Amino acid sequence: MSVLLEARQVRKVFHSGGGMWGVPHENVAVDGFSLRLDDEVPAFITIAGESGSGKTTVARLLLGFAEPSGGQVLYRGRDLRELDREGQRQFRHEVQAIFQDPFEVYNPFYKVDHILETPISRFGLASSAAQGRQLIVEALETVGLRPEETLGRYPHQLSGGQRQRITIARALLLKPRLIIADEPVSMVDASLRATILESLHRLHREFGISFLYITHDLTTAYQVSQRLVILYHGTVAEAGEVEQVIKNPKHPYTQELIRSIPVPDPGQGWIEEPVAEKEETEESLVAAGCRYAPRCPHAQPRCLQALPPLYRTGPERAAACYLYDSAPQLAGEELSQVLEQGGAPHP
Amino acid sequence: MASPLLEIRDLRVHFETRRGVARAVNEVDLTLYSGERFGLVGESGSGKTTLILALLRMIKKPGFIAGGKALMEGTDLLALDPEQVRQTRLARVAMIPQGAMNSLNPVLRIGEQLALTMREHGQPPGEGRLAELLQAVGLKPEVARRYPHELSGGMKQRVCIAQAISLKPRLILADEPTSALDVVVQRQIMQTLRSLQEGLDATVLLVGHDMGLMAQFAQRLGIMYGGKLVEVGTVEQIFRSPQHPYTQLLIASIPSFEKKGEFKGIPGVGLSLLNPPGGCLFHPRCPKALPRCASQEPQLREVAPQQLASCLLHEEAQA
Repeated sequence: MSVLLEARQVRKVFHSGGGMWGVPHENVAVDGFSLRLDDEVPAFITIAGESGSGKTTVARLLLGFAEPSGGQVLYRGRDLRELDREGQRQFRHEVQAIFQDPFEVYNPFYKVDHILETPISRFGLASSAAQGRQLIVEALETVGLRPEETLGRYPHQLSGGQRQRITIARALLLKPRLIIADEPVSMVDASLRATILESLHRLHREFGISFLYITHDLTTAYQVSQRLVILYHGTVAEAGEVEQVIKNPKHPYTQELIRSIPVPDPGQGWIEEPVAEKEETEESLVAAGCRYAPRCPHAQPRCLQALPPLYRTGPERAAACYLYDSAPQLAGEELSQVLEQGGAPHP
Repeated sequence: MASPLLEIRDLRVHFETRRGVARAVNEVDLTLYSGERFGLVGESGSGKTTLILALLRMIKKPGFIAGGKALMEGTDLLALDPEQVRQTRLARVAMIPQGAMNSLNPVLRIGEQLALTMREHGQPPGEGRLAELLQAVGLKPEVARRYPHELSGGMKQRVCIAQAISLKPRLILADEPTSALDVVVQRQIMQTLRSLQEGLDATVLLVGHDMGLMAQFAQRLGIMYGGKLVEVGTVEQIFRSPQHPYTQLLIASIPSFEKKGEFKGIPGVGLSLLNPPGGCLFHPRCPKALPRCASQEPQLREVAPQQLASCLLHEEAQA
């Protein structure tokens, strides 16, 4: 198979303190993250986690916006840090990003046409102005916008949903192989959320674009994706085929997350049933062990001593929890296999 | 049903802009009862946050309260002078803010911040009362000696709840109080809020757009669209038999673990408050619109016991 983008045991550490005040402090934002995206088989993978889980750091590492402190990110087999000019240009062409805030990516002084024309001229996508215009019109229509109501306007004249769809149209112009979308709908109203997710889902199905959807919302993750990674404080808690993970979660964190989602159906006992997990009492960081242990209702002494590895809890899934230590361990980059379509061959 | 606590009548909040007047809250009538949990839902710009800011008299220029009353236990909250407003806030109407992270003073210990506001209202707390307050929201008394940065997001939100209930208010306003927290912590906090609300027999007005949270926390719901209240009913009525087409689409658009790869957005784009359509505000997006919806404004009227909706389809049926 030909690999488009790959993360191998990526780790990112942020340093703070150590200046005139305080002790130097290491904050491990992401640790041991592996993922492989095939060029031929389009994938739709969600990376889910609460704020501070490292999900945005993963996106930034894969986009080359941040350099890994350990491990590698490879684009078509070459380390992102070693790409030459042409390699970088190709990478920026094939891998696109959509961000959370559809307001921040716009320059308020330019009409929205500008944001769509730039990639066309930068990457030489059209041989004439008319052809460029045609590409823009097609891209806007693909995301459900009427070009005559969109072009020629300034960003403040458009709604948040329209702006977010324009950024999707922009990504689409480049016919990328992969779109990394970081919380693309969290700032959009519920009524538009479905419309935007539908555009993404359609682009995946009809144009074979792979998606990496970064979110805190498991319900929308379930709606759009095939594979799901649950991050907790920088480490992978659980990963695998989305149906199995959501309907039969293995990691205590995933279990509690899913139980805690308020379902839009009155009278489900959500407000009465006690929450199993302990609340984090202070901003505590577990140095060596499982990061979830302080909150975990199943925590054992060894959870605090060493970080549990990922155990293969099924052919298409894995969980990092000692409760499953009878299952085979996932070594190194085998997490990528769990996230691949069709899963790994069962041992 | 319990006795009314707050009667909002014909509330209007306008914003004067260079391009005209935006009616952010428009002719809203709403009654909240003692001891109930009421949820107010709507998309951004629907006026839900403006409505609670009006009750707290926190509308800032270019916005102003253009008319209406908010009667609570015999007094009109909208007619109080600044000193009465100061006395009313916290003591009778308290607010739990959206971002607990930014609403605590970073250089004051938690105990000092709680005591400060209580002293302002002439009720300086002893150490015992502070400990009691912290315990009521599920925190250890030692937290009184901590600074905000030493606490997790969930703990800070608990401190804000402690502050809100410190003077035993009758009405607690909460604007998406848990939107920055993960769902597990959200659930713990909302459980705490509910038990406190029941203990005080206070009314909670929860504003937000998370329909799941509303379904689980609120007993009654109000749906706002374009500054107007378009439907009011019990949480069961709104979820099981919504009557306004907007509410129906809103309920249908909620994603769930039952609907994979199924997307139901609401067609069209949100309205512009500066240039609202004539007639029913929702008619340009409404799949059930009649020709006269473009000219005739619907009124909120009873469509079932305790359920109100403003839609000409219902006026039609009753006529």
